[in-house]
Amino acid sequence: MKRRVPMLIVSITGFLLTIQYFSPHPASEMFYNNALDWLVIIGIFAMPLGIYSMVRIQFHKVIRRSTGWGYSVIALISLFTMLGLGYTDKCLENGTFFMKLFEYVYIPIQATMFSLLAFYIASAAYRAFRARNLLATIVLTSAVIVMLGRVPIGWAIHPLIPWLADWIMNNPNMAAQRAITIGLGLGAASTAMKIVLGIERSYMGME
Amino acid sequence: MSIWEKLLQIDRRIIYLLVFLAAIIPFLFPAGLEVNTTREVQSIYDFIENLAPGTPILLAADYDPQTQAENGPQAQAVLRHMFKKDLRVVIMTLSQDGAALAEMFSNSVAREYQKRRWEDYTYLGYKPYPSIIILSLGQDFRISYPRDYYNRKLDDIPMMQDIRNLDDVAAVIEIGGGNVCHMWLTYAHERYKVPLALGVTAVSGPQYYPFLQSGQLFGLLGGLKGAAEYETLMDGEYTRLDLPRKAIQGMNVQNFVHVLIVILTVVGNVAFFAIRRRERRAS
Repeated sequence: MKRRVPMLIVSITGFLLTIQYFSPHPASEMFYNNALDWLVIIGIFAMPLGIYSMVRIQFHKVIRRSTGWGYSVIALISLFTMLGLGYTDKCLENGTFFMKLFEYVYIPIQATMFSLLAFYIASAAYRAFRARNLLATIVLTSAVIVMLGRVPIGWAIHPLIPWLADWIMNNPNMAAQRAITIGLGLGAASTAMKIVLGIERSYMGME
Repeated sequence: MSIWEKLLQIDRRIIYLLVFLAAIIPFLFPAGLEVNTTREVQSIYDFIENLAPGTPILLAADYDPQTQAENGPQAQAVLRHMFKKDLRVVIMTLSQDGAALAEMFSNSVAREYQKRRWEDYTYLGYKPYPSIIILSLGQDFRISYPRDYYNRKLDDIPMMQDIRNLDDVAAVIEIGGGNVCHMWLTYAHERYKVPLALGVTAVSGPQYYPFLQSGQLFGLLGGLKGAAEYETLMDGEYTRLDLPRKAIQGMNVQNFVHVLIVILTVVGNVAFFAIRRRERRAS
């Protein structure tokens, strides 16, 4: 019973929403609007669950003095500080402490994390990007052309470079991306079908 | 150890230092190279340019601080164009870290053009669960956003009176760095047939080219280059308002760093082949 009821709900909802997609009938529209409301309501429940899970994991790390427990203390302090400061109506106004923390702490931290990629890519390009065989050489040549073609210096060196970069993006790249997208789409559709039909049950923690 | 082997085993901190210098020097000595525009950027510009004043348009600023360096200048350039054309702009975000960013840039650009909140533009703010929100926008903005970011009821906002759902906006311009762009394609464009253009990071740009060719996207801003192209198209406006061309300045940095990566790749390969040749001769 504990397994059949959730599976039945998933199957019925899945079938109804699939049929609904192709029907412009008012009843179908009403069902769709109700489903959207339900999605929002159910989705909201995930948020306290996520916060609870995070607090629990970090708290246990601190209690057990696990490796890096100091970071957990910072994570917990940060969480509750932002929660506390963000609880007031006026927290989002310019100049508040909440916004200052966001603007001068959070934004630079996030931007720094992403910026580090440039350093790793440069190091990786130097050490690992090798023309070992024909395919690797094609990838390497394409990468060099696109890298130069996507910045103004490519145009300054020769107008053919940005043209070639555009050709690579619009032809070989697009063909490969399309194949990947179609593959992903078919995979997603078949997984959805398996879930609706009750064949795929791993979302309930079952084999 | 030969010079080639030494070269290949160079301390990575030296490479980091080179990247650091390549990023800093262009700020001091900008190259000032011309940015050429591509079809996919030009088509966004043309689309907005051809809209009549007062036309509603939706700008989804779904990016966070991580990708702000690329997406920020894109969003600002596009919003400036929208305000220049006197469009009615609905701004929203589906990125939890993007709510404050979107508010900051929308208010600052609005000030440049003396645009009034709720009459010329409305900022809806952030709501979680992107796919659900996008689907609900197709039915009615008020399902997910009964009130805007400033807690004003959408029904009380003058410019929102005749904007009920995605059918009422001329297009959606989505600026984002994650898979939310795919959601806009699937749930907004495919389901509700609203014209869609994207502004994405350079890393994720290549995966959207098939959608350009199929006509599912009418334009694409790829990374900082896309933003720099848009700033070039809007050059007169940037000059008139004496605004910094952030993306074009950023392209100076990208110039140097890209060239450095190409040089490093070439040097690494030359060393690799020199060592391999010597080893083959020895054996």
